Amino acid sequence: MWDVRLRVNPGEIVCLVGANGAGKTTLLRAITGVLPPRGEVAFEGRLITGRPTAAIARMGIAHVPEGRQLFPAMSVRDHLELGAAFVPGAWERREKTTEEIFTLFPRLHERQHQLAGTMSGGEQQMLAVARALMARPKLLLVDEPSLGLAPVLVQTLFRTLQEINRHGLTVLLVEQNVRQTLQMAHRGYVIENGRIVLEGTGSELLANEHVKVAYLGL
Amino acid sequence: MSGRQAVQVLALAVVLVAAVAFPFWANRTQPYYLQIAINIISFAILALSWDMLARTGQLSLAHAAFYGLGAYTSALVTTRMGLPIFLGMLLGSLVAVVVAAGLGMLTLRLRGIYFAIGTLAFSETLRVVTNQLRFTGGATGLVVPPLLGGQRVPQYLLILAVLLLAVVVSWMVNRSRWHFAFTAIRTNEAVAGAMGVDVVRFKVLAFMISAFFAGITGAYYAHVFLFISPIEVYSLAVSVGALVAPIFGGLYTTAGPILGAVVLRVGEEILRSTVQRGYPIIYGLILALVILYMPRGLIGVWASVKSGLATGRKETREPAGP
Repeated sequence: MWDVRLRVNPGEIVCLVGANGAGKTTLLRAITGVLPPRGEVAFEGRLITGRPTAAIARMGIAHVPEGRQLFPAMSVRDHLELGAAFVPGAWERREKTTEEIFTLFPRLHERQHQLAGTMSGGEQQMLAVARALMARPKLLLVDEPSLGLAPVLVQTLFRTLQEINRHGLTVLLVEQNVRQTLQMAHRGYVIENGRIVLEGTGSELLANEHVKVAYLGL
Repeated sequence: MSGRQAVQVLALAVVLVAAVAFPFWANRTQPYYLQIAINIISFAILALSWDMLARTGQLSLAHAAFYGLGAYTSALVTTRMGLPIFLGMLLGSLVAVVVAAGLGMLTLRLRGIYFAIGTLAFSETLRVVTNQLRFTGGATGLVVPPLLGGQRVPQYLLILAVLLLAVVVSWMVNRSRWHFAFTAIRTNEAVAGAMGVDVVRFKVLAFMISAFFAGITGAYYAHVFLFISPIEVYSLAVSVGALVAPIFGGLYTTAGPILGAVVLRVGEEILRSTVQRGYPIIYGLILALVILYMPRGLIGVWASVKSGLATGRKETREPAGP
């Protein structure tokens, strides 16, 4: 990774788009401390470089990992409780957060006693987002939620992310689905071969010639 | 639901009363049974404590190491320093806990078979070292003073109390938030970390809890059987036994490892007395069949029977229900 300067302001949806292997996931892992970053990562004005992943999670950065990474033998309800269990403040408010999540994803309410491994891809992705929300994070990192989902499900999911954002949650979304992502995001970054090559508002990037040619096939 | 819970509580109470009353009966009529019961309970504690560590995904072959450390520490401080036996047993389990914390830190990054081999190497090293040291009595072993004046009934009640403590700890682990941490770490450490679970802390903590019970059981063994040697207490049979019972009974549960330990030991006794020759072959065969065809152990069979009954009942009661 080189020349990566990425900033997410409170209340924004920022997206990071790029091709396979461009470094999107690596960048997220550097933020969450799974990989040690060589540069600096700051959150709410404080440097968090080199802190352990669990400590970063407890500060209010929740991560929806690529490929969902659910626990197949655990029920929906257990996933939600796990999401809140180790974040200060979130555990005490878990009942209320669960209610909010069930209004956001009624499907999960219906399936609360079902095992995660037996649900469809779309439901699993909802659960992965819901599990992260249970921590009542300030910043939500979402890694390729559209992976393996039907287009209609992707739309629903993106609408839900927008709704969560309207409730005040800051979102950093990593995607390969460039058009839909840029339409939704306030601002975006384009990453190629480990470098950020473009940045701008969603509509600016959609109008950019390079983006059009390389990612939108126009 | 509350009716069923009442039945469960009642059943537990009956088992408990029977377990407490048992030695008073056995001591008069069948002292040999008392001996077997002590063996079974010790084995159940080892199995349950091994399982508590396994819940974090750490499949250890070092249970004999903590068992042996407990036995040798207690034997040495009571014979060489003249400390009281209870203090010796406590020190034995504390040494096991401290060593477990160290081993836990060292093996943090090992997974699966590599973790198992690392822990096995540790256990074998302890055995070889103890075998060579003059201080520990070398290969000849140590003669150990008897616990509670060698009276079997109080000895039995003491180990029963230790088992109850292990059951309470295991139950609390499975009922509290820790359960989520253990399960998440076992399934995917990276994701557990992203959920705010302090992976290092929980893995080492599980190691320490597990070693505490193995250590105290080892110390108890020394003071009940009055003689220990490296080949006996650091034996691979102890480590393997501690992992076979949970697999047989049902992993990651409180009842499974205990059930597994009881059924295996009782079955072994029955086979030993009925099929004098070659009983280990039959024993091994039964074990292999259970592991092949009952992957969730005895508890898993019970659970599927129960859920089968429950759905059957529901269908007859509310045929049109959603």
